[in-house]
Amino acid sequence: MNIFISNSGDVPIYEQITSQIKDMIMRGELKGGDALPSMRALAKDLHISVITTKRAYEELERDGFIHTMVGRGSFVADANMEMMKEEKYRKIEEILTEGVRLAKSSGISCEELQEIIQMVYEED
Amino acid sequence: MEYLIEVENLNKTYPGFSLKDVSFKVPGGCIMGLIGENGAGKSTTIKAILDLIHTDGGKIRVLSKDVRKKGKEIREDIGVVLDGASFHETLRAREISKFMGKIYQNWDEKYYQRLLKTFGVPGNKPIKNFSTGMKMKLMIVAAMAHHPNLLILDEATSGLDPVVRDEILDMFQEFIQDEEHSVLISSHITSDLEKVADYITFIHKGEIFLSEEKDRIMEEYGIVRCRPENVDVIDEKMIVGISRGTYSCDVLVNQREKLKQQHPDFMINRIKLEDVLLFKVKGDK
Amino acid sequence: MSGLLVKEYYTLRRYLKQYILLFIFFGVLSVYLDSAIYFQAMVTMSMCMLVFTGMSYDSTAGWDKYVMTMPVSRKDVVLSKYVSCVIYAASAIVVSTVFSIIINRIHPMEDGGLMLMTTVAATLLCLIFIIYSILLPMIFKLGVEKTRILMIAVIMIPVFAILGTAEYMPESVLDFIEQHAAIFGAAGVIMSVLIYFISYFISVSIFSKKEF
Repeated sequence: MNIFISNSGDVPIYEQITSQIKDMIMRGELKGGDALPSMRALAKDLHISVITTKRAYEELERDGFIHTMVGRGSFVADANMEMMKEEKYRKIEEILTEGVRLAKSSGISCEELQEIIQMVYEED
Repeated sequence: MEYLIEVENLNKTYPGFSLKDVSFKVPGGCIMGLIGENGAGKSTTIKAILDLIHTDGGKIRVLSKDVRKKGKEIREDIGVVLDGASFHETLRAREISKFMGKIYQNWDEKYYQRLLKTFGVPGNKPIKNFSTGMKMKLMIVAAMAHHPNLLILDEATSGLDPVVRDEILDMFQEFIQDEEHSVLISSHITSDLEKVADYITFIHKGEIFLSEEKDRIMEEYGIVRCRPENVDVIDEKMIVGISRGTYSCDVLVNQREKLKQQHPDFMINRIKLEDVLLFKVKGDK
Repeated sequence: MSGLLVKEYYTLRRYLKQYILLFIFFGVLSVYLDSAIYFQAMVTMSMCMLVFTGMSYDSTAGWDKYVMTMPVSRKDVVLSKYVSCVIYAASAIVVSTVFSIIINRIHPMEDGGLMLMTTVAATLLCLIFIIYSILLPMIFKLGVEKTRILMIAVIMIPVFAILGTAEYMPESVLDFIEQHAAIFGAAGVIMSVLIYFISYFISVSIFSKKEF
């Protein structure tokens, strides 16, 4: 599994792991039933603390992306369309929140913002 | 939770230095770094855990046994690397196995040979012809060959080049793949511990001032520089330590993000482990 | 404890070559001095010095600290030194006595009688027990270097004491002893062994308090 950790940014390491794994699941790189490396093996591969990988896996489990069975390991949860969509919604909201914040601080109105969104949508 | 080391109110007095109420616990399946400046008490603490010195009070349990009463039994299951403790320099790696096998019940000759090979330690060369890094690798191999549950190292990586250090840290992470294994390593090379440690315990002038998950320290802790009068504005629960200067104060807080939201005007810096140490040492001046 | 003895073997065997050369030198010298006893005494004394050498190297290498982190008790460490000393002394005496006899066959020496040499061998053993009964606790307490300095005094005192008493004892007493040589001999051996045992317990007590 190819996960890349950056020590320099502001994003906590466990969050980097959860986002990357979530992305892989949503892109279909990881499918329902696939086995994930154990928390300890992943920690060793990435040269990070076991507590970090544990936290990442716990969050992924809480959000329904994986399930962990004691003694057997962690596996990708079966594809749940509803859940995937929800996750996408969440991500979009995150990105738009940033956009809105910028708009507000530069005095751009909601209507102007919507125009921009329309334009970008039509571009692709 | 099974703790491999439990130190409770350890006290030891020497003329001019003492350990005061040192307490911390090392859980299973983890690497704990013990950080402190030279003379802070790291070695003394480790010596007390190993029953190399007598103590003036406190309880120490290792692998759930009292160190004073079951020292010999405990030492079957621990591997130790101490600064200034080594084999005679005329010995060769092959010969070492001959007597270590009689000293440790669980000495595994085949495993020892495998480890030597993996780390490129020659079997037939006298130790006095080894480089510092090679010697350290041998000491670590010797500490692991009897399948201990706990590794205790005092300043084992100082004086080694980054390549060897990386190899050794890898070895430790491999060691704790088993949840019943742990490593306690004391060092003042904080960068190594930043990489692989799970917990960090800071010691200064014989006292523990912080024992916490390494990730929390790296991701949630911060140092705020502000004017002395502004210190009172900070929520007490967030404060871990204060270093008062004449014109400004440094405050070590444990919830950097929250504080930033509460006081966007404050200058709060992320920290590395080294910063925590410097913070405490400077604070004393 | 046996592991510690095996370690002694591997660390000291490199010095054996030097010792063999030394013994050959003593051999030649003893023929020159026409004294088999000289050979026995010198070989035994120098072999026992290995105890000093061993403990000195233990300390330089940091082994003495290292071994305390192993499943070895302080008693084991002390016992290994006491046992080593006996092993060195016994092997030295046996080997040197055998060689003396052989040399004596080839080149008879004045004091080459079998009876005499056996007596000397036994006396040497007792002397070693007594001398090291004092030296070993000293090493555990003060370390090798300081003990080395005081060593000369320690060895000389019992030797002079014995010679002195022999010198000043009345004829009748000396005759009495000679007549009952066997009993006195046995008593002497038992006494020295007892002293050695007591010394062991003293050393254990000293070493238990030591801090590394």
